[in-house]
Amino acid sequence: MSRKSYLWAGYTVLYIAALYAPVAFLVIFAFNDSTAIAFPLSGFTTRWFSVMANSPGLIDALVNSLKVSSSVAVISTVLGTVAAKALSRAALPGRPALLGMLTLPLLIPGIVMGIALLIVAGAIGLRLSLFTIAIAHVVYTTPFAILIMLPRFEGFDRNLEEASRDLGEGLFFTFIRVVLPLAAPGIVSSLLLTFTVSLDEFVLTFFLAGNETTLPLYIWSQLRFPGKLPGVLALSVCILCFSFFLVTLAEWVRRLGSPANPQ
Amino acid sequence: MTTPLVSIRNVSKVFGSFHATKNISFDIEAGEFFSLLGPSGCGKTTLLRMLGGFDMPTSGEIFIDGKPCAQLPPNRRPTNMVFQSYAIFPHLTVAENIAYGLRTMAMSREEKARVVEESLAMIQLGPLGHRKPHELSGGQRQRVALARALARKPRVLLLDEPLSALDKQLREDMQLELRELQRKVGITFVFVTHDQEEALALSDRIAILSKGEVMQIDTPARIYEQPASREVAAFIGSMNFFPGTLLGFDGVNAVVDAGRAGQIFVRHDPATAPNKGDAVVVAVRPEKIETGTEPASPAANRLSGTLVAKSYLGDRNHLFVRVDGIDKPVALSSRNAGRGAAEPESGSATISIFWTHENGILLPVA
Repeated sequence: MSRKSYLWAGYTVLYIAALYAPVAFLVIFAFNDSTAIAFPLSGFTTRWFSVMANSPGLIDALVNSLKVSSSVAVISTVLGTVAAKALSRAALPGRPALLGMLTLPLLIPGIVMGIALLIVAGAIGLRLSLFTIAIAHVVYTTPFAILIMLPRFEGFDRNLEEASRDLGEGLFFTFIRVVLPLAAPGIVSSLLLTFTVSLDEFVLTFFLAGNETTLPLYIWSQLRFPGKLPGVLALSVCILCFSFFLVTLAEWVRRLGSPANPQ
Repeated sequence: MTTPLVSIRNVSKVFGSFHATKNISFDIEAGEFFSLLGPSGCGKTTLLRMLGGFDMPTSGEIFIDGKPCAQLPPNRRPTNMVFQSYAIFPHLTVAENIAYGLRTMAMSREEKARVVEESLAMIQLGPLGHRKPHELSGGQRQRVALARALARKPRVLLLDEPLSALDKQLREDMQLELRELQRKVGITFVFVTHDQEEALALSDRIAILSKGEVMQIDTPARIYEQPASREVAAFIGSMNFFPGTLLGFDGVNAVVDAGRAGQIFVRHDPATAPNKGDAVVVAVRPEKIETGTEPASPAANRLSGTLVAKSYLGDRNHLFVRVDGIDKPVALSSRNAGRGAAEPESGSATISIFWTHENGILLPVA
């Protein structure tokens, strides 16, 4: 290797280290046998995981999070699928503008969106609850669903739907027998990804939460107590692994059924 | 009198400002192999899609089996379609594809299984029923599309250039199979193609379309030998045109003054001829022109010119002869019946060309 490529390799290593070091520290301290988050490490332990599992409120927060995230995943995937189906029609007037408008919520800062939604909730007299959190999450995750579903629909031959009509099926059964099976990998992928995004969402949740708390809010609340920090780290490790697993699964399912690689 | 199976009445289709078909009317009889032939953009696919229910006519009516169908969706018509892309469902097996259209039919489970089995046997894919479409070759997929459409026993089978994606050898085999299949099942086929040889080889009748209008509907032989207009004559096969003025009749022959090329005699019925003095063209197929010293029959036109080009095509030669008074060199094709048959020399050799009076076609100039 030349001098120049050594430089590039070094830069790349540093870059990746900077990206992942904080996460690595989090994982390391979750297994460190001390309440102090500092070097030197005192020894290996898994007790923070049992401390975490026994902390009051954690299970409630987890159940709340699962309720919100699973409803959000289903609702935003349905909305995203329908929207993507419509957007995949090349003849749709104003298609580029529409696609832009529909996916813009991805780029609106969470804090702005949070305040906006809070104002709306107040204006229409909606009591803050898990319900308002879910609405906020749907607004945020639907663009993800659209962006996942759109290439699926654009990838398949329009003649397939015509062939189904030609073979005696109406619109509904054409959707059930042709469109849905072909879109299935995208739908699974969208469910998993929107679930993950909703599960980890903090800013919007913080604005729109009432008395009930979700997992990210619970973690935030625990940070006030230095003694609980290792337990929070343990919880974070769990969430990290779970999210990583879901996103990997979503990507795997998506590739499995992409039009270039039909099942 | 029997009513025609398909009756197209004054059908027009407008996309924005584009008139895909203009006031088209014709009938298709039961059991016919009927082709729609024309260059791309002539409206043939639009017409086929209107027969299938994928596009609705802007005006006009389509009767199938005497029933007005123009506004019915595809699932409520006695037609089935073989798509150019085949549109085989990629998530279903071959057998499931064939069975797809049977769900809505009043049949017992056993009957449906029997139809699928018979269809697989018909297309010679018996053992491959469990395969997924991507495991099939292009020709096999084409057959699956055909079997799937025929499984519903349609009154009319619509085929949208079904052979265009296949290579030449396979295409010729499939042409034969298609023709045989059509005779066997007795279903009316409406076949869209831009390949004139395919249309001539397969069809009972051909409709020639151009710019959304029907130019001629006739049997393949009549389309080729007796084109109704200069446009059809030029579109089908190759053709030599000798423009001139109709001088009158000499017995059974029309006499055309072709200027410096002299007088040309054409067998023609005086009753259907243009008026004396009208501008006309005499059309002659290249293979109907001979060359040599004397014509085989005395009732022949004779012109002389210079040989400007010759191309050797294996089974035949094409010669191009420049004749005084005719813009384009006259093309003639001669069969290479024997090896090393004597050929006229290329270059500026002067040669004589002949064709008999009945081999010319008199056409009006539009």
